[in-house]
Amino acid sequence: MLGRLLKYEFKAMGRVMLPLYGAWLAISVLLGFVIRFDSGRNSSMVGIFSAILGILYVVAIVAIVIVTLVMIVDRYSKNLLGREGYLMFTLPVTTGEHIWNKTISAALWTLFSYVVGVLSFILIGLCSGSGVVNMHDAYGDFLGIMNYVQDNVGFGRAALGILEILLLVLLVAGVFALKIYASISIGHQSNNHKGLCSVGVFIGLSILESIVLGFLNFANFAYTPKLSTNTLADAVSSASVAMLLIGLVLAAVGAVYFIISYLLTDRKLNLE
Amino acid sequence: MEWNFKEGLPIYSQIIEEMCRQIASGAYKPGDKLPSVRDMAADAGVNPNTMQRALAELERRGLVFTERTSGRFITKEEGNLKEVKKTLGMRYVAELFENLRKIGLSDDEIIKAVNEWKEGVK
Amino acid sequence: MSMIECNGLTKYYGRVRALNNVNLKIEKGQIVGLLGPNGSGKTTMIKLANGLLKPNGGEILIDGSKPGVKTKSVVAYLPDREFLPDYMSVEAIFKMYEDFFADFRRQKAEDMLSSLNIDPAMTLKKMSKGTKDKIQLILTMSREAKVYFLDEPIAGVDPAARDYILKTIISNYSEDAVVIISTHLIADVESILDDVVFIKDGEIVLHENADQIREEKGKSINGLFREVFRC
Repeated sequence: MLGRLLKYEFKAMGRVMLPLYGAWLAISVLLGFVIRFDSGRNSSMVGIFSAILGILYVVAIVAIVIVTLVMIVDRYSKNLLGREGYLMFTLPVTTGEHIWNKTISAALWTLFSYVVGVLSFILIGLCSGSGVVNMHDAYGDFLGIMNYVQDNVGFGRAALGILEILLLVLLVAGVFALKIYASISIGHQSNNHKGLCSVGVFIGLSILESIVLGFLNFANFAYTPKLSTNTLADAVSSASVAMLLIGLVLAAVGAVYFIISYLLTDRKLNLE
Repeated sequence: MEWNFKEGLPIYSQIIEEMCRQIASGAYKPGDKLPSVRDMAADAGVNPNTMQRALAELERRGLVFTERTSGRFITKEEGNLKEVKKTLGMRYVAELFENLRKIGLSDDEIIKAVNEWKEGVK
Repeated sequence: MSMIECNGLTKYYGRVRALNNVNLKIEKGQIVGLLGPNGSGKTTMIKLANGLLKPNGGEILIDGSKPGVKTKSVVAYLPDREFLPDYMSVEAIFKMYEDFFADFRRQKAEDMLSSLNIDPAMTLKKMSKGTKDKIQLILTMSREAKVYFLDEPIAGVDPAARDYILKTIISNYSEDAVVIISTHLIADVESILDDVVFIKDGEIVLHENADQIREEKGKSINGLFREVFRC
């Protein structure tokens, strides 16, 4: 059933996010081309145009960040705890599956937003490049990096490293979403000002997080062996260990948020 | 068919009444096939169990019979059909007497009134 | 085993007691009216049956099980409010129901849709409230469930639609299922009920066969209701 939930969750988020991604990429392409035209001529028209597009680009980034956040909040507070809850909670699906569904979807779409962001930079770069010469240089640089990686670290290890980074990004996004869900679930318990309560809880949880992580940092400093960073291979391995430790701590924090949301949603649900 | 149920009387007995009337008046002809219980219930706007109860009683009175594979039918038995007309007829007569007695007529006066009415209608 | 069973069912909202030690057994093959004024506990009981609330005391069992994934796959609930995502088309919602409910009969739903002249490609956002209500009814009645909970199915509905809804409920009747109709509009609905349950201030005050009430008390259910719930 989780698979089916994910399918519909994707459709629900996609119908808002995909058009925005499209617009963002389109603006990137336009911005790239305008920069290309602008560098060389001193036309004020083009200058104004590139300034406008530059602003639009920044607006697009801000919009995507805000919309991603708003969607994550809405998909939980409106779809689960709002009137659609009468549909969702009568589906033959467990509470755990519902929360996993929202979390996985939130994490993935956050990752997608980052990926689209990277893509947009690449597009600006590509479109504003002045022709074959730069492409050639870029390719040359690219080959150089690949060879260096191959010699010092190995492709397999490098690919694994990239995978680890992606997983960590997903984990961070997922735990962030879970923090939001826990805040909404707690806020939902109050009779008035549910939204305000949720925001307050979120801030409270964030403060708690900082305190706990602060302690852990302190402990980490004192107790863990120093990690070697002599060679690139060593550095990559050390980074992996560090990411693993961070990942474990994050997962523990996420588990706490999950449990809070689960218990409240399973036992104290009160749809209006 | 227009069904109008009165308040305060069990619906199943009102269904039986109405079916008897329909059979006696020939609206349902002998041998007619009845729709399914569910369809009759939906048409009358009543619970299927209630309709079933009424039909079971009609079957007990011999006005309706079930052929296992084909469904329910109005009886063709002359005797039963005559019986239902007679019973209904006698009841209407009783009602007539009851109503006219209520306004003070004696039984003889009632019969006189009936004859007067019959002459007048010609 | 009864299809629906309440044993000592109790529910509080904070300090307010919505249901007080309710004991009720409803057998399959019935259309039952859950009748009471607003705030009497009807919706609370239905929400408990659907697992949307958890009891404070006692239990409610659907076909022998506590409300959970298993019961949700055999219970069809029509709430008295809109609960579907506005942006979806009717077709999309049918597909979703098909995906999640093994007992959803798509063909039946499509037949009902066309008999009401509703375009399956239309999104809910563009529909009138009356049409949206009909879609919700079609979704619920197209499931071959063991228990149907219809919360105020004919409130705020025009007479023609009301007849259609009542006829649909009757035609959908199954000996293996239970239909619970919760309403305060008794006169329109009483002729399709087998049994009636009167609920007052969270307690069951009556549970009897409708025709038996008419025979013994010489009143319509509506009339008896007005007597029992006189303000």
